Parts: sequence; structure tokens; C-alpha cells
Amino acid sequence: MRIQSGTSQKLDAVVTVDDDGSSVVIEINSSISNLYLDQQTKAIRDVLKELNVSHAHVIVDDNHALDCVLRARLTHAVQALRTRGGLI
Amino acid sequence: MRSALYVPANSPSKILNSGIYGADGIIFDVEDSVLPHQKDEARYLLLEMLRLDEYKDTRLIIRINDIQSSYWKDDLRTLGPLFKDGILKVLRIPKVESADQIHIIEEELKNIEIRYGLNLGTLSIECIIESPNGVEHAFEIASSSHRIQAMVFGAEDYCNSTGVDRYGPLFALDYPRSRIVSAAASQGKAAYDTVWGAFTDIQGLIKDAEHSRALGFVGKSVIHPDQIEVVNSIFSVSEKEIAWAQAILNHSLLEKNQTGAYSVNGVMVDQPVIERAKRILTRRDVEGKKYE
Repeated sequence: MRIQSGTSQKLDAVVTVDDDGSSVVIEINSSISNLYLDQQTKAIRDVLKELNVSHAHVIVDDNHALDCVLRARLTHAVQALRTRGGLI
Repeated sequence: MRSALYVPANSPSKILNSGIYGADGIIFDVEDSVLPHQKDEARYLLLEMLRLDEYKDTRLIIRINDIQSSYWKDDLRTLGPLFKDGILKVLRIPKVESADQIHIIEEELKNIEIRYGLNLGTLSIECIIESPNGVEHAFEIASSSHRIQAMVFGAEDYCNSTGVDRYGPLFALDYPRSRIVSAAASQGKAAYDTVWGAFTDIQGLIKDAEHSRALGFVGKSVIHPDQIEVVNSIFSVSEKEIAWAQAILNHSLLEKNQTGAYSVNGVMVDQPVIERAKRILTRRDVEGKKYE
């Protein structure tokens, strides 16, 4: 099952979470990855840890989103996936 | 609060920038400006972004969904941590039509305060009156709860219900506006006017805002940053008003041993006039702190 959250507008990101697989895989597509990849990856990992997600494929299509926006979009996607019966 | 800027809650760029334009208040909106399938996303966005501390000296308000919708309880539930941490304290409630609706909301707010260990009464309410039914019950609504801080006029829905042309003659909305101002004043609450939706028409905004100030509103909601400066200016206390108020109070000190009325510059002054002069100077002081 796959859920998307967010938009491609400036300062936003589209975060896609798929509950296939047996581990956490994070894929970040961003024009500023050379500067902020570690920080963005940490923001994603922190949210997954807080929400006790042990397996998920997370794809981030970033348009200069702040960390707090990434957190919000990912949190929503995970919660929506759970509401629909995924990520158990 | 002279101006309050509506900001759609599902736009990171608009939320991030909303604090820089000089509005006295910011209303983060999860109601009309957010599509039903995006409401949850918007709530989570506010939950994270309002912790950025970008809004010093600005009153933060959340416009939740109306209580006849299926969304308002989810608004309160998801945004709960922002209430808990004192980041949000004021809720603007749309489409209020009766005291019973306020009592339902009050009960939910009380539950939130108990859940998070907040003092009872921490969370307050602004009621948007935007229907003929709401207008006719304005006094009952304004007097229904100590949590109510302000009554707010919402013209768009009111015009839809009554057939009044929102951009027609200004007097066409005098009745609902005056009724809301009077209901608010009877309970010592503020009254804020509706938005001017034609945001490129600044001359229209000026006329609309001056008219609503003359009717007794103390501020106005806005939908575009370009409207803020105009609205702040119109709803500020003028130098002329300050000079008048100071003259009245200076004379009242000189006349303190006398009873009854006296005159200043040929105009009768009695106790209500002195009270009005005091209110003007209080507003001036409060504007120095950005909002009342």
C-alpha cells in the first residue's frame, strides 16, 4: 500500500510512503541534497523512529522544504497508511 | 487587534511567511481554504510549523471547521499538542448560530484543558457570525460564554443567504454589522469586521474599512498581505483622537471637585465622554504592544 502527502509547491515536498519491504529505505530527490542530504535523512529517520515504523520505502520529492515540513508530510503519510490498514 | 491575516493551513510557504507582513493577528485556516481531502495534511503541517517561533508579538488564531461538519473534533484532537504547549490559545469558530453550539464547543475545550493540565478557561473563542440566523441570535451568542473574546462578522455567507450584493452600497450591511457590534459591546467583547475579498481593489477596502470602523468595529480580517497596512492605519487611534482624549482628561482633573457636566472647547463633557477618552488612550497604549 502506498500513500502520498504534500505538494510540489515551493518550500513543500511530496512524501510517498510504501509499506512493502522488510526494512527502512529512504530515497530523497532534491536539488539541495548536496548541502542537506544528511539533515533531511535524519529528519525522516527521526519521525519513523518516533512512530515505530520498522519497514517502509520512503520517497521524498523535495522543493526546498524545511525539516518541519518533511516531518509533517511524513507523519501524515504514515498515519494515513495506518488508518487504511497498512504498516502494521 | 486591528488586522488579522487569514492563511491557508496547507501551504508551507504561506505559513512560513505570514509573520513578516505586520498583521496584529494570524488566523491559520483549516476550514474553507483547505479541501476536505487535505484537512489532515494541513493539521499535521500546523502541528510542526507553528513550533518554529516565527510569530513573536502576533496573536495566533486557528479557524477550525464548523461544528455541523464532521471535521471539527479532528481539528481539536490533532492540534491538541499546540494547545498543551501554549502555542495556540484562541479558536475562531465559523458559522455560529446559537448559544447551544458554543456550549458544545466549551465542553470540548474543557476536556482538552483537563487532559493537558491547563487552567480552565485557558482556551478562548472568537465567534464568526455569517448567517441571518446567527445575526438574529448575536446577543444570545455573545453572552453565552466567558471564553468568548470577540464577535466577528462573516459577510460572504451572509450575502449568499440574503441576496445582498457584497460589493454594492455600503449601507446594505449596516444591519448585521451594527447588531454584531452591539451584541459584542453589551458583553465587553471586541467586534472584528469581515474580509474584503476584492484584494486588488484597495480603494474599495479603504471605504469598507472606514465604514466598519464608524459602526464600531475595532479591527478587520484580511486575506492578502497588501491589505494589512491600510487596515492597520484605519483602525489605529489617530493623533486627533489622542489629543481630544488628553484634553478631556486634563479638564476632568481640573474639574474633579465639581459634579455633573462641564464643557471643553464648547462641547459638553460628562462621565460617558470621560470613559470614552480613557478607552481611546488605553487603545493607544495597547497598539504599542501590537494588539488588544
